[in-house]
Amino acid sequence: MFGKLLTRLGIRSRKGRETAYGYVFILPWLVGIVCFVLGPLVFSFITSFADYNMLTVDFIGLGNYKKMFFKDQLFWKSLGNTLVYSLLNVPLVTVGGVIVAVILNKSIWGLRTFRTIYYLPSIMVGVGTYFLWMLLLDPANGLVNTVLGLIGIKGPAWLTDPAWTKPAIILMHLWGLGGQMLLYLARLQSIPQDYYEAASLDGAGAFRKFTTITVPLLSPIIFYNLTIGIIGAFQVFQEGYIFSGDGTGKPAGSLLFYNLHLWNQAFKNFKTGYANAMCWFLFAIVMILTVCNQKISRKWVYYEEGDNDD
Amino acid sequence: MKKKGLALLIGAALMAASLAGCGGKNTDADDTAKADKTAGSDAGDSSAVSTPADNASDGDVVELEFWGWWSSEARKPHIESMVKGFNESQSKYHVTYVDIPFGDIFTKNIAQITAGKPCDIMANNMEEVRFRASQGQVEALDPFLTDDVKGAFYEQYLEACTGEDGSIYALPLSVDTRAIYYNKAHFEEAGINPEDIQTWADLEEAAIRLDQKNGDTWERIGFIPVLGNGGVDTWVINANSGYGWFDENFEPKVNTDVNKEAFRWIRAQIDRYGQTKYDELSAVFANGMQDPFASGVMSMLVQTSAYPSSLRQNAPDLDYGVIPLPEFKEGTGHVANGGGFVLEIPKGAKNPEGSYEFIKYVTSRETQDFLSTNIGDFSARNDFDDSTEFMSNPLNQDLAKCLSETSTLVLPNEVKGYETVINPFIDEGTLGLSKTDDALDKAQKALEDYVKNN
Repeated sequence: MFGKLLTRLGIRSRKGRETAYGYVFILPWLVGIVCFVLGPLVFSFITSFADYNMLTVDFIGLGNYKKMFFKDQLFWKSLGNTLVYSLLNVPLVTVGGVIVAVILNKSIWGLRTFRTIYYLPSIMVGVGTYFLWMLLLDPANGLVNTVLGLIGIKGPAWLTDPAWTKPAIILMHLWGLGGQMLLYLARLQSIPQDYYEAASLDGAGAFRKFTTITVPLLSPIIFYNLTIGIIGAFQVFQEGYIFSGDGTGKPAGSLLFYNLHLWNQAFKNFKTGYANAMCWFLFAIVMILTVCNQKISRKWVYYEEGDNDD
Repeated sequence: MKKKGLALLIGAALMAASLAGCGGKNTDADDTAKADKTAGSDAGDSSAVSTPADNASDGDVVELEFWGWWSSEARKPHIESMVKGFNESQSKYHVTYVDIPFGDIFTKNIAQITAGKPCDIMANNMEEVRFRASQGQVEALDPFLTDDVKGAFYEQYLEACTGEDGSIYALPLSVDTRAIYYNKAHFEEAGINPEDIQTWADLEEAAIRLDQKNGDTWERIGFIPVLGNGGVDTWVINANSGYGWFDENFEPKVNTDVNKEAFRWIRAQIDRYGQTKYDELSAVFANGMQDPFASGVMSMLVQTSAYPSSLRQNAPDLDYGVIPLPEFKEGTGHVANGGGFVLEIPKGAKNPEGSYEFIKYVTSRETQDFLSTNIGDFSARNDFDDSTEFMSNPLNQDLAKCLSETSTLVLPNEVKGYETVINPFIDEGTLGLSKTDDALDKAQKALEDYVKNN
């Protein structure tokens, strides 16, 4: 029936028909992106120049942006908290994921069990996980400090001492690095053993093989995880919202992340126009970092197909 | 090129058709079906929806949605009974209770208002009625309110429901206060008469007598003022007879001599047990898995008037009593900070008259007594005296005395959100990261800047 319609419209060639079918297949996605992504995106950009409270719009030019940079006492604090968290979290989770994947790529006893154990946390999502970690990080009776106590270390007050709140969240994320680990593992399994054998014949040690074979061949996956990780780290929200209890980022504002401050502005103070301006600034930061990451990646990411210069 | 254009044209036509398919006529029947569907999906299960009365299918019956967050077994059945009571009390309206998690309900509410399809009756907090009114999120109740209804509430609570334009935008559903809960067995053992605790000095003295330490281990904690539901602001409001970080003209007054003395006293209470012990107990309250007062680890605790319902479940055998927050100095008053919840009509609700009828029913003396007796919340009604079933309970009578000295100060809209600015500095004092006087000085500066910038 659709074929007849195309014929009636004068689309008879195979290529033309394939193009038409292609558009039909991507239509749901097109509808989705136009209605639910592009529309709100444009609206958000326009209202970032307005005093908008979800019900009324009053355009104020660059007022929101000026307020953001020069008047909002919490803007720089929340951005600083997010930067510190990102700088610590992204490298640690990335390196941790690679190390765990390399270990779990060896033929060791109980391999499948270990892989399952490491992957399991990444499918345990939601608020329940955060409450679980609140118990694990309890300074007096939590498992983490109990284990530290066994080796003679007095554990900190993870979630009540401002100096330890971010490390606590990073620890929680390290627990959930199974998702990244799985991607590395899939790539590791596809690396031909011949490379390692040839390197061994040339006298290369384990570390040398790791740095000159494993890491370069893993680099596209590392690059992907790094990009996604940076974007995700700048969007950190739930941890601050749940661990601080009242959304103010306590203790001492140490958990006031950029997105939590943004959320407070939008849904507590109903300064939605201002929150939209904050969104666009965050978008700019993430965009710049992603582009830089992309540019730098040409220096260190190795593509077997030789498309580094694309 | 021509073919590409055609393909795009087809795509656009199909997209338009899909969008048209998403729309459709918006009939009342559709709305009702949609309401039921929303209720089920929002609440996570179909049981979240109260059973429609038989007359719901009657064409003349107006369907109304009531949004709240009460989903526990301790509360939801009583809320549903109340809704059922309203549905059976008249034949014009049929209300459906929809419970939405507390973390989502307020964002959903504003999203629905923005979309022009709000629920009909919304439960919300009392402290921000004025703010929501100024933002145009709620309908004024003035066209429906009568003097007898207005006159049935304590003035301070009705004042909290009044907008800057003088219109009333909500009616109080329940109110709360803060009090000190004490363990009767511990008091008896230490030979303390609760009525002797009249000032902060008395409270400190009692706490020291209640403390029990074995070597380096604290076995019993007498009292820490900023655990449970008490914060530095609770004590500052008490010390200033109702005013907290602002004076009566709403000028920032954070680092006053009174506040500095109050904060130093709080710090001294924490220092008695040490920062580590405070951090431990603070974490226990935050993760919510244990209640040190219920388990007998703490002898006294600041909590809200809703705490007894929690103790009924967690420690049914605990013998406890309540005393008002003591006076900072003799004569400054046993003032506590409190708030409450209201019922309001979101802006754009289709049947405000019906919504009001429901609000009037829920805030009536009989329904308030039903809710208080079964749920344990206090009413803002001024005719809610000892003759009600709820108030015949001696514990509730003691809490009611605390309620009579409760401050429900509603701050101007301009300072909305100020807590996020000053709380980090207050935390620094509470956590021992800076001296309390310095913390208050920094908070004063931050608050002044905040007011100036807003």
